[in-house]
Amino acid sequence: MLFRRLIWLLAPLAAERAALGQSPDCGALTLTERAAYPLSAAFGVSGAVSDPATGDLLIWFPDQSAIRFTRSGATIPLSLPPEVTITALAPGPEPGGVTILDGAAGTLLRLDREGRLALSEPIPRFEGEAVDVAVRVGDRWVIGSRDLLRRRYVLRRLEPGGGETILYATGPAASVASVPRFQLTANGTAVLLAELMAPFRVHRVPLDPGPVRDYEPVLAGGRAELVADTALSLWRSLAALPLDCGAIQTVADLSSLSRLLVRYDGAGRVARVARVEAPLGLMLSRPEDRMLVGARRTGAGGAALELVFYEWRWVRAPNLSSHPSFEEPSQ
Amino acid sequence: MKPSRSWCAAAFGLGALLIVAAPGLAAQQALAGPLAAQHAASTSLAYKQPGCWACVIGSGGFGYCEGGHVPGYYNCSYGWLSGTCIPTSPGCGGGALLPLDPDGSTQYVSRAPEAGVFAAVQPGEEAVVRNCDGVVVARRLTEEQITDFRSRTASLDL
Repeated sequence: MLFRRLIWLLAPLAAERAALGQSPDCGALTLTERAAYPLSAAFGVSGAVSDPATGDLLIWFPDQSAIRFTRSGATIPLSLPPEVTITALAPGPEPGGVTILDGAAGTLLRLDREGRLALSEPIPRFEGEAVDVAVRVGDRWVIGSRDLLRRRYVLRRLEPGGGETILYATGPAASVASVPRFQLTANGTAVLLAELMAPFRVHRVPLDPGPVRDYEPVLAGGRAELVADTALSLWRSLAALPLDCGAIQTVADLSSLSRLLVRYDGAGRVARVARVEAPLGLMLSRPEDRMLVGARRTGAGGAALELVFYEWRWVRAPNLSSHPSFEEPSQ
Repeated sequence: MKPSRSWCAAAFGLGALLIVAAPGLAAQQALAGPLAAQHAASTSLAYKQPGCWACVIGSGGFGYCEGGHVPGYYNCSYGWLSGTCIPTSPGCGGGALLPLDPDGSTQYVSRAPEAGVFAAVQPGEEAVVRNCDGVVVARRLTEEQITDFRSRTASLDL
């Protein structure tokens, strides 16, 4: 009994040490372009999410329009209610349907497969907060807001039956303008927060009680040299995307074509950073079929962007079973 | 109450006026003016200016709307009866929820049809059209560059 109790007490410590100190050997990652499609986006994409039921992508734009991009490469405009502000889209709940989270209005809209409004319900709003990002994980929404009154960033989980739980909050910033902002992605039963500006911290925040894990800072360990020839204030991080082992993050220089592609191993340590001189950003991952979706700028006007589909392959297959990590298999 | 919308509508209107009046000049100014410093042969930058509204907490402990705090973000509404301040719809920075192109090119949040229209300078003085939209980056890519990007990003080793 005493022995069991000792094991029970020590197990979390051992797991912690394994998680932070022992990196799963993911091997080297190779991305190979499998397809590219022109995207008629005048200037950019606000967000994208995958529909696991169909393999389609839901993509929304700054002008509050959205499309369904099918597996076959077809573009189907989504019919959205007027005046809606898309914070995030999610597939379902019915096949072919779409759920819209409008953080500005504080509503959740559900459209059926024909684009008809099937349900509209309010979501909690909080005084002085500006909703930045949201992602649905399972049947729960996670919302990232800047709390302008308290000068902090807050990540909340909305409960299906009402109510909310604060998952993560930063300390108070020096000013409203310096409240940090984060990109948000689902990662199994957790979310990944990627800080928009330097130092581009990545946190893994579980949806259920558990410790927040910090990934190794990308510019630590002498890697700041990679951006020493530029103004760090003009670099921005895109979302951290889960892989089947580790994660990948694009950090972009707004003032040039330089990008850092950062790969983290399963323990959250920086495994590789590659500087690429091309206007490419990775915006979505589908670990279930080892596919990364990126956007590549190809000029201005009607076909300013390309959607690029990469297949990923490990040169040396990850051995997840023998190397404990703080990550779970991605959904 | 959406004060920032009027600010930015005015700014946009001024920008549009400049472009309608002298499209070539406005376009050149947008790319060559002080706000759009030439950074590289194919890139121009226009930096964001304070302009939109946010909730701030006053000496009495109540939140109220105040301009100039969060460039490019929300309008703000104040409930006189409830005494609450709430950021409302995205204002002049409409679509500011994810202010970054997925290709990393811009911190773009504007609905403007082309890059740089918010950065303009009147001849003889530095009349800044308010750029509520963060860093606007105008790219000028050649066909050769695009071909080169495609080639160099077709396979990536990490």
